Amino acid sequence: MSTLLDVQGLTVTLPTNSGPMTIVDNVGYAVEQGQVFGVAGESGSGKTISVLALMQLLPAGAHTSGTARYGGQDLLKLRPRALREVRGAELAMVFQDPLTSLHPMLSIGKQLTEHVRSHEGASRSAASKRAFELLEEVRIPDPERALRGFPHQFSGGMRQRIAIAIALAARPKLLIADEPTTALDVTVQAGILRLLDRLRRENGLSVILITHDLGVMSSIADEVAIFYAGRIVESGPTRDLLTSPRHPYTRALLDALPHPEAAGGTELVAIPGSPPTPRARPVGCAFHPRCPYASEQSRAEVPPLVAVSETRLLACHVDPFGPK
Amino acid sequence: MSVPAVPIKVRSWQRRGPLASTAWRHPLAIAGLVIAGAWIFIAIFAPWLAPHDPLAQSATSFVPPSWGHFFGTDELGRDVFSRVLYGARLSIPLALLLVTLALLIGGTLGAIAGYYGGIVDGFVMRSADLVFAFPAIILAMVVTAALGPTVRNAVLALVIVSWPSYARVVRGLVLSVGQAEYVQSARLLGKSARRTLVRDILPNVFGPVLVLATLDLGNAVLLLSGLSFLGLGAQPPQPEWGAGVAEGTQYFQYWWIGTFPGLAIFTVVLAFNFLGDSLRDALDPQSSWSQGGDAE
Amino acid sequence: MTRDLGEFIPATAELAVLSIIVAVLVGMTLGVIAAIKRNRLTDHVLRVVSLGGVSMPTFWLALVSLYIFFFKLNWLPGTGRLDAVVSPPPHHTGLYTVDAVISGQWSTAWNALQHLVLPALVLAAFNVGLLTRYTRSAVLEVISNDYVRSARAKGMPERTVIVRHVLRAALPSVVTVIGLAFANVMTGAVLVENIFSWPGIGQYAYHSATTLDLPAIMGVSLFVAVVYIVINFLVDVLYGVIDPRIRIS
Repeated sequence: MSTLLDVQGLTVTLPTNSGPMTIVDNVGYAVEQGQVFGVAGESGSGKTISVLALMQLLPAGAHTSGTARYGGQDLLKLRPRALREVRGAELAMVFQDPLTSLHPMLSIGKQLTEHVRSHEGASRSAASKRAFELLEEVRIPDPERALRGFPHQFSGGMRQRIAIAIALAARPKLLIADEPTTALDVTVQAGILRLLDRLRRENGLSVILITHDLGVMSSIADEVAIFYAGRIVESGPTRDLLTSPRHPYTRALLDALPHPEAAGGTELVAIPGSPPTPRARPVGCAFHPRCPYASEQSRAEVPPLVAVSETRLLACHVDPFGPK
Repeated sequence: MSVPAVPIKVRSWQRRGPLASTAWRHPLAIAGLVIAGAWIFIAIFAPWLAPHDPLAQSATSFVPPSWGHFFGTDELGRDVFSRVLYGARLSIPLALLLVTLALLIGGTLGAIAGYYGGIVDGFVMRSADLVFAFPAIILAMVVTAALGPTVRNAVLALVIVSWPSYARVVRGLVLSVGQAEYVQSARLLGKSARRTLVRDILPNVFGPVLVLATLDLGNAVLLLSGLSFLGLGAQPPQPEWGAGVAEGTQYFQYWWIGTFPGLAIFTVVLAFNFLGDSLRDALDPQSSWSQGGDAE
Repeated sequence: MTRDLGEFIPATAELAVLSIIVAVLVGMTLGVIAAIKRNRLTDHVLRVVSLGGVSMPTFWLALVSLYIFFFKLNWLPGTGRLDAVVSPPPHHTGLYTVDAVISGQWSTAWNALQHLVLPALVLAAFNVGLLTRYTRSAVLEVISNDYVRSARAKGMPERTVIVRHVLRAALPSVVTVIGLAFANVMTGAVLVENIFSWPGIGQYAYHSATTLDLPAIMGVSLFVAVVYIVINFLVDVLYGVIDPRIRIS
């Protein structure tokens, strides 16, 4: 399997009243073809900003450094014309809330076809036909009527399927899904995840899946990277990482998950403290104030993300759960 | 847990104090203040500033702008410059009077309507709707024509036309502020209605109404001069600006007669609009031309 | 009196329609530009321009523009709807430009158009200022919405994003202002028609008010009220066309 996207040293700062604020700090990972790459972390950990940076969709004044190699080009350095060609046709994005990320006044058909016509120069009828097929593929009932409809006429789950269809219309190789199920009912979530999985298997689509829900991660992600305070603290194959986490933060996250078979009355374990805001990141390892294993080194130096096995990367000076 | 200190760059003009930095960021407000201030000064001191008597002949007719007569002379040989300066003594106080009256009458009616609701509210609002139904200028024309074309009647007509806007705004504000809990608790505690209105509601109403009034000052000057232009306001030989422009239309080829009075109107209204616009930004950061915030 | 109205209404209508079209096109364009270049020099300049537009006394602008473009430069004709030597086209709608075109009287049409330009532009000045301001706010309100980001994420060219996605979403707010603009045109018409000797409703209103011709005053007021109602109705219909969420199924 070849590497589709190779991100190295990605750092993003946003302008604020008191100077630039580092949101994403020296992040690196690789996404293989046909792989679902999960990005997990709490709100404010920088996961969304890091993927927005890939498509240069950051707010004005943001500063990005590092590289993101895709198809022989650095996505972060693309000029507007090349960038337009990449957006939608190579990389595509699905956002968290389909109600706000779909245009309320344009028909579904329009939103499905406009970029296809723009990228591929397709005729109106050809694009319409493709739109119809896409709606079928994402299992929207009565696609003919749906094409003439508007977002507000559909339920949340349907809207997200439509958003996925729109994202895939210009045949991208990499789909970035930012919390695609967070705004949806639990019952609908499973359907969306199954859809993504099927698309991946049938079309060889690669997916970067962002979520804070480890359960979602375990069900379809092949690889997972754990974000904390703008940095990746651990990454590796999903099953391996979730069954034997090595970073104290990952372990704490897993411990905090309510166990479905725990005895009644078992206390919920929470991680003491709260994640630092980007402005108030601690010196050294960002997690050390909340970490029971923190050492002097943790408080002083930022732990580098290093390979601790053939498949696992870890950023921790102490590595309390590693092999002795 | 140590927090890295983030150095804040202090700009040099910020050190001169908050006023300087505020001024720099709102050049329009300053320009408006300066121009309006200048005109008010002129309105007060025109008798000392004007080189000639605005009502008397001081040279031959139709003298073009020159050193002796900066704005030339009109068809009766009167100095246009002096007439323009004296015109400020009409337009500006009248506009202030007009707006103050409309504000007081409209504001009071609106406050009463909003506070008491019911029949009173209905009556006030229906009257307001009736006025709104007529285009301002037509109503104003009818009133002045009916009562006789004088400056006083023009002001009266325009007050009649303008009070509904204030009534509506104040009523809306009173209604929304009146819903606030602290006001309702004051009412429950039995404080007198008037006290509640004055003490609790009015301070909140003040800001938006001030913005409205400042912007309306410009409008008032435009309407007053418009009526005079049509011959329905100030009568000759008063040096009113609108009437001056009307003179200018009659003596077309002597461009200075109509241009300068009109320019005066333009600068005064512009100044009030600059002020009102900046005030609106200051009071409502969401409004259109306020300073942009940080990136989201 | 209805006959009088019938003669005067088309004259004002011709003026009003052209004026509104100009004001909407220019005002909206400037408003979009100001929004895109938010807080930069262009934006500040446009702010001053728009404030200038609403501050200008219409009658003064009329006078000055007539002086410059007619008297001095002679680029455009003076007062009236047609040159004195040109006779009006056969009556179909009462709009000289339209009637002349229908009858194939091209030179008459051209002449009528030339006479229309100056008064229509003068009448438009205020509304350009108004529309620039309101379009700017409307665009700024929608430009940071998620669906705009989605359009860019699809690789749509920025121009399409602005026109099809941003402007469309901002249109409902702007349409409200267009209703207001019509009201301003009617008020302004009284002054403009006066200076340009334009035989329209504005002049008619002026004469009936100054002579206290009660039936005529009532007639004009009724006409104005009807126009307001029609405009409001059209605006409501337009909302439904633009925003499918508002349509009654």
